Formats: sequence, C-alpha cells, structure tokens
Amino acid sequence: MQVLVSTGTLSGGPYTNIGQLPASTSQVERGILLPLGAKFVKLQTTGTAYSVDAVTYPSYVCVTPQSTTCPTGQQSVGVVMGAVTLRVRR
Amino acid sequence: MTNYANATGVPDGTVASLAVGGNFVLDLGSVLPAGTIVTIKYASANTTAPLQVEVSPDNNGYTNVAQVPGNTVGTTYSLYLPFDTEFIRLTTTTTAYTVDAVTYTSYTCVSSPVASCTGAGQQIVSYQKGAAAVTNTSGTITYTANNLKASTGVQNSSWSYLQNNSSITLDLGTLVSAGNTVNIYNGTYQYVAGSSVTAPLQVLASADGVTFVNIAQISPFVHSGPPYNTTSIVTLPINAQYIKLQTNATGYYVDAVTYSTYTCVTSPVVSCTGNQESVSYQTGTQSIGTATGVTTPTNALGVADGTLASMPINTTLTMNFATTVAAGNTVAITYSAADLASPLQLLVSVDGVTYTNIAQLAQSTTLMTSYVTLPVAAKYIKLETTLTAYSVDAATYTSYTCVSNPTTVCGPGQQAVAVNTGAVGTAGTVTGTTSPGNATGSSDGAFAAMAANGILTLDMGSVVPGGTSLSFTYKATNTTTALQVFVSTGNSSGPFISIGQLSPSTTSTTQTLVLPVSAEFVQLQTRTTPFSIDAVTYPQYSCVTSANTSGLVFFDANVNGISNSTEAGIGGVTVKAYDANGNLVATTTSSYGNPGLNTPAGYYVFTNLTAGQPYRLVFSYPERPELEESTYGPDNHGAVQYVLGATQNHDFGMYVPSTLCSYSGDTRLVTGSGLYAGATSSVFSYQYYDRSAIVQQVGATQQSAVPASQTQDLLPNQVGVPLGLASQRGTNLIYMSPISSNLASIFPQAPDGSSAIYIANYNAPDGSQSFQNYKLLMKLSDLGINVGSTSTSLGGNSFGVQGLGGLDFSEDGKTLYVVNMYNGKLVQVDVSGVDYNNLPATKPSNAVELTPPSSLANCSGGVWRPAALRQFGGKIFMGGVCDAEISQSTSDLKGVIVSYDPSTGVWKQELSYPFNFNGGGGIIPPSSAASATFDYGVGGGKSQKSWSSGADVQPVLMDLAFADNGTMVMGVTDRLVYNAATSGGQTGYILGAWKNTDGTYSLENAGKLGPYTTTAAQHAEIASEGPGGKWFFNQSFYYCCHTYTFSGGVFIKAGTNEVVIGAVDPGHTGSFGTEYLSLLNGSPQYGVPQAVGIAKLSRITGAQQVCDATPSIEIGDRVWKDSNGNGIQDPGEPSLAGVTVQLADAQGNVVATAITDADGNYIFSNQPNLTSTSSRLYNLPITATAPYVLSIPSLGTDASTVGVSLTAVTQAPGETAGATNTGLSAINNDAFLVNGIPTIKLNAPGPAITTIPTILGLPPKRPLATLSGTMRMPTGSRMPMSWVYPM
Repeated sequence: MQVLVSTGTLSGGPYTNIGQLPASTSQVERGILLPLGAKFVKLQTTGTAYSVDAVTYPSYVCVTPQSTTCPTGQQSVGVVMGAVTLRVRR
Repeated sequence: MTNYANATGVPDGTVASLAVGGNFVLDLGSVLPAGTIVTIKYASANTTAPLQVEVSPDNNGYTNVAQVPGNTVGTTYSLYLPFDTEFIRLTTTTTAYTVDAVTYTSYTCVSSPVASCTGAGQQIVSYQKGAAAVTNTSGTITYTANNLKASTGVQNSSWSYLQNNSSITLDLGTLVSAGNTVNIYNGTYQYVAGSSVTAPLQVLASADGVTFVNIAQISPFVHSGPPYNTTSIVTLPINAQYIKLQTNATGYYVDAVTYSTYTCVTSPVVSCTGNQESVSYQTGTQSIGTATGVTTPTNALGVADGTLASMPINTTLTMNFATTVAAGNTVAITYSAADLASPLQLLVSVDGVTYTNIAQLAQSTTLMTSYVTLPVAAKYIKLETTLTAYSVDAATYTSYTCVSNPTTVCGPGQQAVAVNTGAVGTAGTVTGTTSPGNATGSSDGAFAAMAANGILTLDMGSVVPGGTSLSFTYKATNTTTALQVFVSTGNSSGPFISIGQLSPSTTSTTQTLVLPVSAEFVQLQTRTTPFSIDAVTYPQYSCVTSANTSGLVFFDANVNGISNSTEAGIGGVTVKAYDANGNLVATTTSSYGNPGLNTPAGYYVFTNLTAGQPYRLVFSYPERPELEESTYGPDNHGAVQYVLGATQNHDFGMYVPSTLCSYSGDTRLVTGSGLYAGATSSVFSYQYYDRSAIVQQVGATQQSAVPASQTQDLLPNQVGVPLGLASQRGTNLIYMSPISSNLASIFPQAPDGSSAIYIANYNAPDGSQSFQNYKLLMKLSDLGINVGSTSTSLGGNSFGVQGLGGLDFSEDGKTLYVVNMYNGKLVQVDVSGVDYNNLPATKPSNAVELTPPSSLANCSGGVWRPAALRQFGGKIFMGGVCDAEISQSTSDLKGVIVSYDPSTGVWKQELSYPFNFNGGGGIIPPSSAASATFDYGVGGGKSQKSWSSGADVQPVLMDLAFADNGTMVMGVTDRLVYNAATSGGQTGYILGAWKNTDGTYSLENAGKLGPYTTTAAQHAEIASEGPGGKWFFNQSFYYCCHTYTFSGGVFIKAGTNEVVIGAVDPGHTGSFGTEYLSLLNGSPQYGVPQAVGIAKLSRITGAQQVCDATPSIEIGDRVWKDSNGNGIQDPGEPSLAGVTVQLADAQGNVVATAITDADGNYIFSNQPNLTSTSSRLYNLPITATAPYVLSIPSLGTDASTVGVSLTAVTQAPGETAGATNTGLSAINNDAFLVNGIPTIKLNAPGPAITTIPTILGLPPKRPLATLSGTMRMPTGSRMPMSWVYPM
C-alpha cells in the first residue's frame, strides 16, 4: 500500500510518496518516519485490497512525575485510589 | 440495566460490562495533575479492537490519550496522564470489554516509625504483636479453631475463612502510627471446585473503628490444597487501630494481622579493655515448668546435644534459665518441625506469669537453630505448638566474658615458652567410661573410652586462667552427636558451665576451646555417640633464658590495637634495630608462617641484640603500600618502638585503609542475582554474620530456610540485575551497574538502559543498614559514553562485548570507576558532588574513558575483554580475558589483570595466566535425561574455550576481591550462561593469586596459594583439575549434585580470613546463595541459601557489603625526656608519664585533654568503637580538613618528670620554630615554645600537605591529597614532644 503525504492546507495536494507498507493478511501496525511536514495522508492501493484501522502520530508533552520524595525521617506511602462515581454517559 | 458502577473504587473482582459500541465516564473525584499514572484493570471478549481512553479535566472536551489492547485473560494497563484530568471516558468499538477499576496512587509522606536508639551500645529490636480482638464481622466466616480468636494474635496457622462478600474487623489494641507496617498473614485457594480466584482482598484501616479508608488490595495466590501461607506487608498511610479485611468475589483465609513493636536494647557483647578480648559461650535452661503432653521434656534442657523433647500439636513447654537474661541478649532455639504447616511460638517472661510472644520460629523439617534477640528481659522460655508438632533440642542464651591471653611477660634475657600440660587425674563424676586414666597427661595415643551418655570429669591440677586455650584430642564412633564440654572453677562436683561442643570425627583429631572463665575441672559428656578421649591439655608458660628480641606483625582488621585471635600475622615486613648511638645493628623480616616449625605468620626475631640494652625498632613494608599503621593500642606499639634487647612481645599492628568499611563488625551484605523459575527480586541483602540458616559441613543435611535477616530489596524493573556492586564508604550507599545481555528472561535489561548506574540506599534512620529506597544516579550515555547495545554480539552472544562491567570507587570515594565492556575501557566519573537526597539535581556532569595500554594484556589472536573491577590500596584493578576470538585457539586464551594508579596515572600488568586447565561447567551424564537439559556442573570440569565458538566453558573474569595479606581472588564464570537459560556449563570456579614480597602476583598452583596448602576436599571427579592439577579452594561445597558451584560474585570482608562467593546449591539442592571459604586453606566454612526451592539457576552476579565508616584520624605519639638534648628520641631516653597534653582547634578552643601513660604516649582520635582512657581519647569531633594545635599546659607530678622544666624544650634538627609541623620525622621533637607553652601546630592532613618523603627507611607515603576528608594521620605525622633538664 502506497503512503503519500501533503503539507498543504487543502487535501487536494500535491502529495509526496514517502513509503510502501508491506502486505499482511493479519492486522499489523507499521511506523513510517515523516521525511517532511505533513497534514494530510493519502493511502493508495493498487493490486491488493487493504483494510485500514487508523493512521496516528505520537504527540509529546512534558509532565512532572508524581513526587515520592519526603523530608528526612519520613517515608512515602502510596494508596491506590479508584474512581469516585460514574458520570453521565456521553 | 447497566453495571457500570462496578468500575468505580479499587479492584474488587466485580466488573462493569461495556458492550460493543458503548462508553461510560468515571469521575476520579478531583483533578489529577499531568504526570499521574492511571491504571486500568480490564478484560476483553476478543483482541480485535482496542479500548479507547479519553480524558478531560471538566467532563466537556475529551482527548483520546490511549488505545488499550485487548486481553481475554484479564490484565492491567497503565499510562501517564498527559494533561490534568478528573474524568476518564472508556469507549468500545467492535470488541466488548469488562472493566474492574480505574485507579491511581496517591502518595503521602509519613514519619518513619523506627526510632533511633541513642544510648551507648544500644540496638533496635522489633517483634510482632497481633490483634487483640475481633470487633465486627459480616457475611459468612468459618474458623479452623472454631472461635473468633482464629485471626487474633500472631501467626499460628489458626485460620478464619472469609467467604465471598464477607468481612472481619480486628482491633490491634492500640493506635499504630502511620508509617508503621502491618503484616497480614493470609491464604487463598480454590475453595469451591471450578470457582475462579479473581478478586483481591481489600484492606481498610481506621483510627476509630467507624470511618475506614481502603489502604491496599492483596492479590490472590492460587494454591490447591490447604491454606497456603502468604504474608503481605502494608505500610499504614494513616494512624490506625482497626484493620478491616473485606472479600468480594473470592474467599480468603486470614491467620493474623500484626504490627511491629520496637524497643531499644543494650547489646550484651562486652567491650573489653586493655589487652583482653571477648569470649562467648552458650548457657541452656536449667529446669522444666509446664510440659503437659510433651515427651521427654528434660531433653530440651542444657545446651544443644542432639537429644530431643517431643512436642505434639497444641502443647506448651516452659523452661527456666535460672537467671534473668537481659534484653538485647540472643536466645538460640534448636528444633525441628514435623511439617511446614505452622510455626513454633516463642514466648518469654521474667516472672513466669506474664509472657510476651516475641517470635514465630521458621518451620524446618531438619534440625535448625533460630536466633532471636530478646526485646525484653527473660528468665523463662515458653514454646507453644499449634497445628504442627515440634522436636526441641535446646534453648540457650549467649554469655560473654573478657579474657586475657595468659602469656607470661619475661624480663630481658628471658623468653616465655609454653609446655602442654594435661589433666593430673579424674575427679568427681565418671560414668560409662573405660580406662578414664588414659585421658590424663598429654596426648599419647592411649584413649579413655566413653560410651553413649557417659561422663568423664578431669582435674587439670590447678586453676587454669580464663583465656587459655584448652586442646582436646579425641575421636568418635560415628558423627551423630557432639561431645559436650563443661568446666567448673573450684569444685569437681560443680556447678559446671557449658563452654562448647566438639564436633564428632571418626579419626583422631585435636580441637581447641578458649576458656571463658578460669577452671580446674573439665567435664566431658557424650550423648548417643561414643567418644574416645586421648588428652585434654593447656599451654603452661614459663620464662627461660633467651637471647631473642621478638614480636608479631599482625593485621589489625578491626583497628583496635589488639591482636585478636582471628587476626592474621603479616609476613614480609622488614624490621631494623638501631642502638643508642643510632647505628643500624640488625635487620630481620617477619615470617609468612611455618607450621612445621610452629612459627606463626608475622613473627620476627633478632637473636643478636644485647640483653637489657636499649634499641629502636623501625618497621617498613615498601612493597605493601596499601598497609597503614593501625591505631596505637595494647598490642600495637607503633612503627617505631623503643625496646630492651632480649625482650619479647614487641608487636606491630597494621590495616588496609582502603578496605575499612565499618567499626560495627556485622555489616549488611548485598547480592545481585538473575531470575529463574519464580525468582523475582534481583537484589537481596542480609547481615554478614547471620548464621540462622546455614549448612556447615560438606554434604550435610539440606538447609531449607533463608537467613532471618534477609530482605529482597529491588526488582529488575527498578534497577535491572546488578553485575557490579560498589560500596561508597561512610554513606551506606551501594552503587550498581546492571548486567546487559539478550537473555531477558533471566537478566532483564535495566529500565534506564545498559549504561545506567543506580544507587541502593541502606542508610536506615536506626543505623541498621536495612534497605530504604533507590535512585538512578545517571545514564553514562547522557555523558557521551557508548556502551553498545544487545545487538552487539560475538558468536551470537551479546554478553561481555557491550554494556557495563564491574564498578568501584577510588579510595576517597570521590571518583567512580566502571568497566565499559563495549570497548574495554575504564570509565572515570567524578561523583564528589553527588548528594543522594538531591538527585537528579546533583548527578555527575562528565565522564572520561581511560584506555589500558594494549601491550599490558598483549593478546594474540583475540581481544582483551575486561569485566571485573576492584580497588585495593588505592589502585584500580581490572580483570579480563584474552578471548582468542580470531584464532579460536585455546592457547591464545588467558586471564589478565591490570591496574591503574589514579595518583600517578600509571597502568601496570599485575597478572597474566593461561587457561590451560579444566574448570567450571560439567559433563552431561549420558544416562541422565534431566541433565541433558540442565547441565549445571555434574561430573568433571570442561576445557575452556575461546569466545565465539559457541561451546562452554567460555571463561569470563567476572569479579575480583582482595584479602588482608594482598591475595587476589578471581571468580570465573561461563559466558554462555548469560545467553542461554538452561544450556551450557552454568557454573564457574574461583582461584587465587598470592602477592609476593616484591609486589608481584603468583597464581595458585597444585593446591598451593603462597605459603598455604589446601585442606579442602574436592569431589572425586574434579580432584585433579585446576592450575597445576589441584584447586586451592573448594569448588563444590554442597557435594550431593554438583562439582562446580560458583555462579558469580566474590567478596572478602577484612579481618575474616574468608572469601564469600555467589553459588548455586549452597546447602540445598534447589537454591542459590553464598558460600564462605577459608583463605588460609581453601576449605568451606558454611553455605547460606538465599532462596530455596526455586531459582537455583538465578545466578548471583555480584556481592558487596554496606559501609558506614571511613578510616579514622589519629593525632598523637609520645612525650619523652631528651637526655642528651639532641632533639631525637634516642633508645634508652625515658618516657614522661602524667603529662597533660591538650588538643585545640585553630581558634584555641580545647577539643580534648589527655594525660600521658607510663610510656609517655597520648592519642586523640575520632574512631568511634574504642573505649577511651586518660591517655587515649576516642570518638572526638576531629575532622581531616581542619588545622589543630597540640600543647602541654602542665607536666604533672609523676616521678618521671622530676627535674624537667616545662620551658626547656629542645629544638630538633630540621624543624623551624613557629612553623606548622609537617610530620617529616617520627623520631624527633616537634614542639616549640609559644607564649611559654610547648606547642605543636598541625596542618590539616588533607590538601595542605601533598607528599611525605622517605625517612629512616620508612616507605614513602601516598600523596595525602587523594585521601583528604578520610585520612588517618600517617605514622610520620605523630607528634613527639621532648624536654631536657634545665641548663
């Protein structure tokens, strides 16, 4: 399956072919490193039909891990907490 | 109707069902900050579509943050919240899910519960207290003991069974503070056939019994059959008096809920003064109290002797010590259990009325001894059985006395000699003994025959002083029970005290016991084993004419200035004698020991000094730069001594500052180990001297227990599996480098990668060195160090060619060294700025790689592959092998140890030897199908192969350790074991190299290591293997199954004369742990299983002790009368006693004041473990970075000072008035008058002084700058003072 990407603001392209995903009859997940910025992804099949579940990218944020540091003479104790209530289904 | 609410709360086995295309929202109760870890416990109908996880801070806009993969069995999934979140929406698409709970961990800081003991000599002791009462129940509960008390009290295997949806609330009887732990003894099994075990046991806590907080969930442990003991330890986040245990979908058994009670007790170990040393012996109970249902209860009286009292289930045995044993003492219970169902309860009392349950003794079906430190005083011992019958041999406590070596001091021209003196006759009770007179006199081959249960009392002729060594020459008919030894001071009918047991030997043997008390009568008692007694003798000293001037150079491992009986002599030390005119008149060298001539190691003698004439003796040891003079004391008279000719006992004590670890003796030993067959921890620790679970004889009965002090400290998902372990002295911190291999099932990669270095913190507030926590120090890759990856391999094996090897510190602890196995270089990291409590902010900022010159290893046909690293005497030793990977020729295979001296930057080859002998692994017995799979050392050893050939044994020089006498012990393992779970030679071997007088090393050969010859028996199949066809060290302690048992990790504790190695089967056929071997004869001392029944192939990877001390600083020397006024301490010039010497800081504040002793000596020291006298002051707040001033405000009134003027101070050649003393000479005067007071100004012994030059034949000292902060004032810095008669 051909993978093409476009940096434009419209989905019309132009598109650059950045990779070919090998065929697999079982569900697989493949990663491709973007060689250029992209907003739109176009997938093209030729002689083989494909089923596509999702195209995703990782989004990174910096977070501060929970602190388990205590003053001298003290120790950190963790208690597992669960959800308090069930809320309205949305 | 939906059941989505089942997903609220903590995991409880009740689930919310989310059909295809469904969703629901959970409110976590408050906004959790980004970075919080959220865990989802769930299962799915199939694995087609993931569960979508969306989060929101306000239940409006949602962000999809995770897709949880399907799992039909049930599992948990954790994710970091990328945003602040209160609401979580779970959405299904084409796969249905069930969700048990969505949880997070809330952390709070609570006080550490263990109080520090502040009293002198105190230690902390804890014992478990159980719940006092059941206050509430719900649901259905049944009881094995058929009453509500089943779950009260301590662990006793009396169970309450909580069926599904039931609860029990227990009152602990007192409010237990947050931070304390509660032990929950519980068990689960499939109570109803076919039912599932899914739901955890809920643990709730409350201070008032009304409002409960859920504090933990205990996971089920599936086990068929009766309840299986599981202990869960929960730290209380709140103050609590009530604990509620709640079941949901799974029933649980509950035995007990307990909490620790801590008390400070005083150690009973006597601190002896003068030239005395502590001797201990066991004392048993004297009489029986309650013994209903117990068979032959009197067999439990006295000391352990192999005769047993039988306690059926639910019985009690009460015994009386006849004296109140103080808290802090140790009681030893020797017993065995009929099965492993229920522990033996140990209760104690001072009045025989009110008892305190202080311990539940571990079950063992073989005879074992459990040691329990008394938290309260005890006169009475009560043992209680519940569901398991026990056999009890004895309950004893340890008594300590101080004794002196009774050597006679003789005058000039004489020498003390010992004559072995035997018993003069029998006395008192003699029963069951034929020809008792044959046991009198000295050993002559004629035996008195003692039948079983015989008694033989011997009269030694006079009272033999305590401290004397009694020698027993005897043999036994079999090896079933020991010979009991008792002594009485002045009456042949007693009372007698037990001083020890002599192990049975079917061949004639001689064993010694030190008399803890003075005694004239010795009584021997047999049990079921008959013994034959040749003689009982003791050395009787007398003075004879002698021209010898002699003494002993000894290794003062505990740095107390006393030559303790376990401390070895030091050979090769040069001793020079100067006469009163300063002329060198004689030179000799201390002996390495000659058993044939009865010459002890360290002994030196002059035969040509004139009796009664004064001499100066000067000791030097230029080839042993790692040695320093020990503290001045009763036996250590210093490196310069003033003696009279033809007198003896001029002893000199030394130690190795770089191996000093602690003054307390019993440090914590930390081991790293891989995972196999159920083992989960990768870092264990226990007390070095914990002998509560040992095997002492080759081939003895298996030991099923592990040391009582053992803890499992860290998991591989925290720190990986440590290969290198290094102790940073004075900090209680252990630094660890993880092993890197592609065998993830046994050696999982560290979570921070193969370049990570971790720190395990054993700095417990109570000083116990119990494990606290750990931190990542750094990743060397962040500092540009490339250690490769597991894709780097040689012969398909990634071990040894990438990742980190061993690590260790410089002598001052400020620089960390670690082996980079990827390139064979030595990585050097400055850790002087690291503050454990302030990591990662203080992590190291740079690292450099040092390249050993290739000419040192001089490999041909291969590459030098270092793995081992150890610092000794300031030098960094790297051990590796020339791997012959190119030539594939075994002749190119060799072991090479090189050293790097940080003070000079010089590299040196220390040892190179060929692998031309068989060792390690084993040959698969062709008849054994099992061994075809598990080939771990059966049969003879294998020839060693080049790396990359794929065959075992491919030698890896895994670890190094150094003994007090400089001996280097090397541990060699098989590289294949780090690449294959069960194939290959799973074990290796250890071997030693002797340090010669010239500083070079010689590999052991034909069972000889330097002057020592092995006495270690070997399995017949390997008896002709090793260098020269015989090993020095025993390679297969537990004989039953394996010929080689070393698995990695070598450690030597200074002063012990033993090496500790990591091993498989250290006393049990299904275990891994440690073995202790003698450095003097290679024989095994004992084995300590770390895990039994599992994990024998887990493979110890490294071992190291936790260190709380650094070498001390000592200031002092001698005040003498400079009769000829030349400023030099000439032989024959008298000492000045009773002189006041004051130590002040640079601002004039007095630190301490000493009064010189009869020899004019005075000492100021910061050493903590010694008892101060008026002349020797210890535990002072002296630091290595501050200048000090010594002065003499008063000469005192001792007769030796008559006619001496305080202001008549002589000036020594080379000294300048007013200057800071440089300590250039150990024999001159350093004092000058300042404001009319004799004064010495001392610089800080650290950076201000860079070198001390050679003087008077003393060796050059290392630059002090490398030891700043921890520096002992060297010998040359001792500050003499002198006075002359008024002119």
